[in-house]
Amino acid sequence: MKDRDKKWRKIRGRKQENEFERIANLSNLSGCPTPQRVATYSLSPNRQRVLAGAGHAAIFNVFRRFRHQVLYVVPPFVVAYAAMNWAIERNEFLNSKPGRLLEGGEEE
Amino acid sequence: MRILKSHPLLRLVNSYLIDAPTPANISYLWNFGSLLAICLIIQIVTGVTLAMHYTPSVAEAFNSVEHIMRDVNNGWLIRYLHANTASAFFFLVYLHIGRGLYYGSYKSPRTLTWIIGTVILIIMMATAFLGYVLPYGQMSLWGATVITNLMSAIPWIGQDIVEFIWGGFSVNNATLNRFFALHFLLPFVLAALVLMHLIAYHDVVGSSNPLGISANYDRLPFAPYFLFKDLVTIFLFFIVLSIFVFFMPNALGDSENYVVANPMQTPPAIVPEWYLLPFYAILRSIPNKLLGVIAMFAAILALMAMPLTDLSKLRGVQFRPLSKIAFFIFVANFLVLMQIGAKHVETPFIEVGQISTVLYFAHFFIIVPVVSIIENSLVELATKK
Repeated sequence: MKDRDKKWRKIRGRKQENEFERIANLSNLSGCPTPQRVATYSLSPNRQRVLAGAGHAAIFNVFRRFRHQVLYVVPPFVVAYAAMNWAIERNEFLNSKPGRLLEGGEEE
Repeated sequence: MRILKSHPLLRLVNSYLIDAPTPANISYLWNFGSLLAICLIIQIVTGVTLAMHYTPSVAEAFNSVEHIMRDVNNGWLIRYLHANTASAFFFLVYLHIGRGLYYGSYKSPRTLTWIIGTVILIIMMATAFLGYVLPYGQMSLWGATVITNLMSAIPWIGQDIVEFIWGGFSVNNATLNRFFALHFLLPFVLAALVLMHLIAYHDVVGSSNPLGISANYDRLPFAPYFLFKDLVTIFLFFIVLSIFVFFMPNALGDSENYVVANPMQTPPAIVPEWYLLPFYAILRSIPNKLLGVIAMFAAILALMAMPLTDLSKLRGVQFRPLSKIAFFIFVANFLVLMQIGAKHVETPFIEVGQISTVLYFAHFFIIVPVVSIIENSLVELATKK
């Protein structure tokens, strides 16, 4: 170990931790138990199957996820679109000849 | 030890962009931050370049912009990039905020990040407004007149404040000069705030993740995994930005701003740029001027209330069906407000705007706390043995 690092540790007054350990030690802040240690894994690129099942998932998994969320998302936008559409048409009607007559106002 | 890890400044670069332990499960919704950083960089670079040919004087501002468009080498490109990236900046910042609202990013321990983010939004809006005045077209002048006049609603000293801001008795040469000075200054304030935004969340636990639980069980270093993932959306962003800049550069602008400012003629409709419309709609939906101004600022500051009003024990709405519906109602309502802001003040737009304004504030102060209490209770009932 270089002198500079020793000096740095002395200044900081604690064991030097890497970013993973630092985050783990801070985890009490987020209200979860402090893990004893953080495991990091790696797999040889030759053993990885990066695109395993991607084609199948692209259709069926995407559809499954879409189906489970669509009813949360779409109805508010349908209502919003209908409301704006009604407002625009109502406004156009009120600015038309029959609209003004219906409202009982004088035609400008 | 490598200098990247021991140098006081490079150590920060290393711990934010290289070694940062990032949750393995974050989705593409976590890419907006890097895109926003790119936007800020583009805006500063093109902005400084534009300033090299721009003249902040009421007699010459409009013509100097036309000079940039026609005579300066690639000036049209620089200006269109600046104008369209401003829109992109807001589009992405709204998505970034939406991600934060959906996944509970405002909750402890990232409260400080959220608060700084809200301040960034406010300063972004101020910067965008100031920048829109600089070409000194019709909408520049009249937009500036309307917005600066808002200050006159302040009791007793309002009119004095407005004249202090103008440096005269209407929007004039002094106003344009100070707006230029501030428009040049504020992006650097933004850059400083962005650093604070980064420090605030890297110094606690870093990025949140879609599950709303600790990500300590599965993290990856930022480089190379998330550097390259961010690059995917950065290139996508460049494609979309290019489509706007090269094929429809004025699609998001107002044709009225290609007419030179004329204090003797008010345009038929005074509308801000699209990204300010929701807040403009809230302003106009309240008949009282002072209350309208207060409501408009409160609408932005309401974001800061989220850490307090969300009482849920879970982070984010992804596993809370009622809150999820409430979230999308809020988003749809925001889009309604955005359209109302561009409409004339006529029936029934007035009434729709008022309902939408009530719904906007109700989301932050009534719907979120009530729904989160209901969901907490349901979870307790269901898990009680």
